[in-house]
Amino acid sequence: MSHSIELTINERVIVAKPGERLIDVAQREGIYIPRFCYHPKLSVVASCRMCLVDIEGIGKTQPACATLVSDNMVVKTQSHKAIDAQKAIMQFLLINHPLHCPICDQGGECELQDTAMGYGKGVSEYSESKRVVADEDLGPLVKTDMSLCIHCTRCVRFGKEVAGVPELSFIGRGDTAGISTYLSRGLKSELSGNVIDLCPVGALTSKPFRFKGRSWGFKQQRGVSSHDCIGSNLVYHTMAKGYENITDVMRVVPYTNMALNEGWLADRDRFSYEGLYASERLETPLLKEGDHWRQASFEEVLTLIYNRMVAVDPEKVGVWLSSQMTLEEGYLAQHVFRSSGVENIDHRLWMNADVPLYQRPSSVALGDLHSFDTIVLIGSNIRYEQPILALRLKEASEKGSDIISIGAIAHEYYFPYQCHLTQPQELAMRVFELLHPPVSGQGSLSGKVLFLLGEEALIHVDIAQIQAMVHHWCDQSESEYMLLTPGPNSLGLAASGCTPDYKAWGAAKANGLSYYRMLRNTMDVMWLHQVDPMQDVSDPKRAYQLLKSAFTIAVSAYDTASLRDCADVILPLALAPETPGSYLNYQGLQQKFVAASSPRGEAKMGWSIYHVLGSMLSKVVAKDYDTLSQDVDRAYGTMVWPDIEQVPVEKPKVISAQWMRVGLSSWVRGDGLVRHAAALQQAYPIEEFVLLAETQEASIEGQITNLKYSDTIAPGTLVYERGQVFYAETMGPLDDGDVS
Amino acid sequence: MNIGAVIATLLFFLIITWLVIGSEQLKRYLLVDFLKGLGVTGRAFWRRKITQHYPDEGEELPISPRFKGALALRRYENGEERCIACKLCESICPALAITIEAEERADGARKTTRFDIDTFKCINCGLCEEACPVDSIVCTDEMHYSILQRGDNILAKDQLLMIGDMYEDRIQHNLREDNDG
Ligand code: SF4
Ligand code: SF4
Ligand code: SF4
Ligand code: FES
Repeated sequence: MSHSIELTINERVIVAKPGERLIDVAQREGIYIPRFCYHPKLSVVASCRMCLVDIEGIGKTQPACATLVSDNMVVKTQSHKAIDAQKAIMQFLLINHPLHCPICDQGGECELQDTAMGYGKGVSEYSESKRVVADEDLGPLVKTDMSLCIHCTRCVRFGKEVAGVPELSFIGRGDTAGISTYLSRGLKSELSGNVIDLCPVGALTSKPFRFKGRSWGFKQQRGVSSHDCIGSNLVYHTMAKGYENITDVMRVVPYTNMALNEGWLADRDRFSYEGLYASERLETPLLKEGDHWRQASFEEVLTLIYNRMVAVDPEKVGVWLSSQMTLEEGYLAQHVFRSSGVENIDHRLWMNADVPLYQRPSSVALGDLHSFDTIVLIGSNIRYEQPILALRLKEASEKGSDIISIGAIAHEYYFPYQCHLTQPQELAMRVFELLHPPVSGQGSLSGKVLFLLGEEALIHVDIAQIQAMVHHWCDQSESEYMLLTPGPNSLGLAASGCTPDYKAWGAAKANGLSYYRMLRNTMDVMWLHQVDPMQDVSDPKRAYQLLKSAFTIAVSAYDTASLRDCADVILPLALAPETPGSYLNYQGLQQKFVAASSPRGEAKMGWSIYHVLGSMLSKVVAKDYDTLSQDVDRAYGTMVWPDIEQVPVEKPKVISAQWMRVGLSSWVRGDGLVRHAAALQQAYPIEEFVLLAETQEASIEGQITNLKYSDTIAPGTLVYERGQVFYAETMGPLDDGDVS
Repeated sequence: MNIGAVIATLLFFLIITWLVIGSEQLKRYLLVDFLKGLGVTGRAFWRRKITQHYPDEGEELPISPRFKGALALRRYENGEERCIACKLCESICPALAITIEAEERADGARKTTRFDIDTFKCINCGLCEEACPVDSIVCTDEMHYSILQRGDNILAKDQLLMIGDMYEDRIQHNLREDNDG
């Protein structure tokens, strides 16, 4: 079928492949055919009829989106017949379309506006009354203006075909036809924001952004998602506010990177920018005096910090870093601390075991997932942890890969999968059994397998064993595995030396205390970088105790109650779109971004805080950001990851702990930025102390974001959200009551 | 010597000079153009005066209904501000004198939270007035305004609405004039 055919469009001879759509072929040749319902990522319905073209030999005009090219086809997109058809369709669409452009958020980026300008008639012959459609509330993220809907059904097809959740549908006929969620329940999908981009008109627009600006008034800055290890590409639309040279992010839209997010964006990435402007943003350094907090100057707090740092025994200093840090910040921070003798540096604040975690770049491209015969999710809630990866899993599943999941919760996915429900205490054992079936040959994995280790596995006490088993198994076959670490730059921090195991760029072994060990030690000084002791660590109880007993210096973008409880000094921090930097995604792909907006108040970029600290402690630090970034690029470019130490694989045991965490936090509470994004929080509210699952089978009470009514929980497991944290309790034997 | 001889001698000299230096030079020596110009001044001196000594006099100047004077924001009869924050005036303004920030008002209306015009930048071209879909921003015919202090040059939304309220009658009058005439 790879032979090519020739056709003529507008008197140009064009070569195409059989099976291609006329609209795509024309587009490739620079001939634009107007369209509304057609979208390259969605199925073709040919319902809007805007793309009608004149094909020789066929009496009636034909929709270019639904017509496949054929040999010797002669197409005219600008003949009288075609132009008449376009004008007629345009006129027909505008019959019921209000003249709202000046107050419509789509104005300026509206496909209907553009098409009306380019292909419309210019005058209206319609003077009867227009249709008005009542708006439906789709929740806090998507605003509807249903009178503007042109019934292209892109939003409907997106739900059905891409997001896998048919939330919107087309109901009614004729005059009363419209888009609705059937039950007025609002949009709940983790990808719902994408309908904003898909809707060609202003019928579906962003609610947090409503009326705030115009598409032509923004500066565009490329950025990278700061919430998961996939590194979705996005664009910040920023606007200058007032006269003080302050630039704010007004909205976030996806950037089409076919290798990563393909133009989709998870709601978490799209709406979290609101967190930048939350009232809890810290704007000046804070200092604790007795029981009171007061604002202080940077000079004052830095002097204080300096005096502490030079006086303290470096072995008694602990550093906890957030995996939202950029590569540059992480490198500089560990450099300053390590050269002062501090080795206790960790960013894996989710770990529940004192073991090294071998984070390595994966060679698996997102587009190649279907080349694996089986994909095994180990303790992953992939749909919420890495929404974009879940889309690719769906694609792989459609292309024939089998998907298996092992974990305490059978999450509701939109692709078929086989679930091995497991009590969290037995996770490692079940993985072992899957890899080495007791009755050999029965149910064993065959062919190329991809293992995806998610949150439940990463926070598991047995993570080292699980990784070793999987690693060993993959070593002996052409299978692969990936650690789906929380945060956008966990791999980057592992590379740049922010772990107790290795120094920067894997150059040498280090032997600092891990986060787990620090929790069980006493420290004199604790340094937190964008870590909230209540939310961002796996063991808030111990963290509280440790931080309260130590002199705690927190660098944080937010002024939270838990930080005020634990810390002694808080320095205001500029977050990702306010600071330049780079993140490493799960493949080790370094994606750079520039500062898109201005930091709030006196907040400083992370690298500059460590730069000043380093200079005060008379350490050698790069003279400015550019030098730092060049150093980091060079070092990462030539980095060789140290070998993984093989540990002997033996059959794991069941853990006796009564309490096991099965998740870190729900997907919209994983870091400070999303926790303070108002609309997102409203869309996925917290319900404290809600019992989510009963021991027997699947009766779940309360509605919670990550867990769905239909999610099934392993028998003997209680899952509930305490504060904002998922716990699973099982009916195992009691031990010391350790929440581990 | 009689008068005739004097005139004859003068004429003789003139003719000789004319022959020697030509008519152009001769005109220059005789200040002909200068005297012509003086003649214009002389005539204007005796004519009716039309120059107005602005700002000492000139309050009653006739003004075109299309005069582009101070900018204002208008309201509807019910008191609702017209502006719908479409930002078209901001984007058409060639001097970048308009700054708008907008938000959804509690009742769901699209309204500005900031509407500033920098009078130092504004060149009174009237393009904003042309762009406005709801006749909100207008050029009044008011020319008597001046900014004396740096910082006062930014007219904020409430000031612009106030000017609009004050001049509403004249704005409407001028619009009628313009349409009828
Ligand atoms: S959807 Fe487009 S054409 Fe319709 S009112 Fe909005 S901007 Fe105008
Ligand atoms: S809401 Fe938008 S995307 Fe959905 S059918 Fe209407 S116009 Fe199309
Ligand atoms: S053009 Fe008119 S309605 Fe639009 S922002 Fe300017 S004043 Fe307001
Ligand atoms: S784009 Fe072809 S019919 Fe809609």
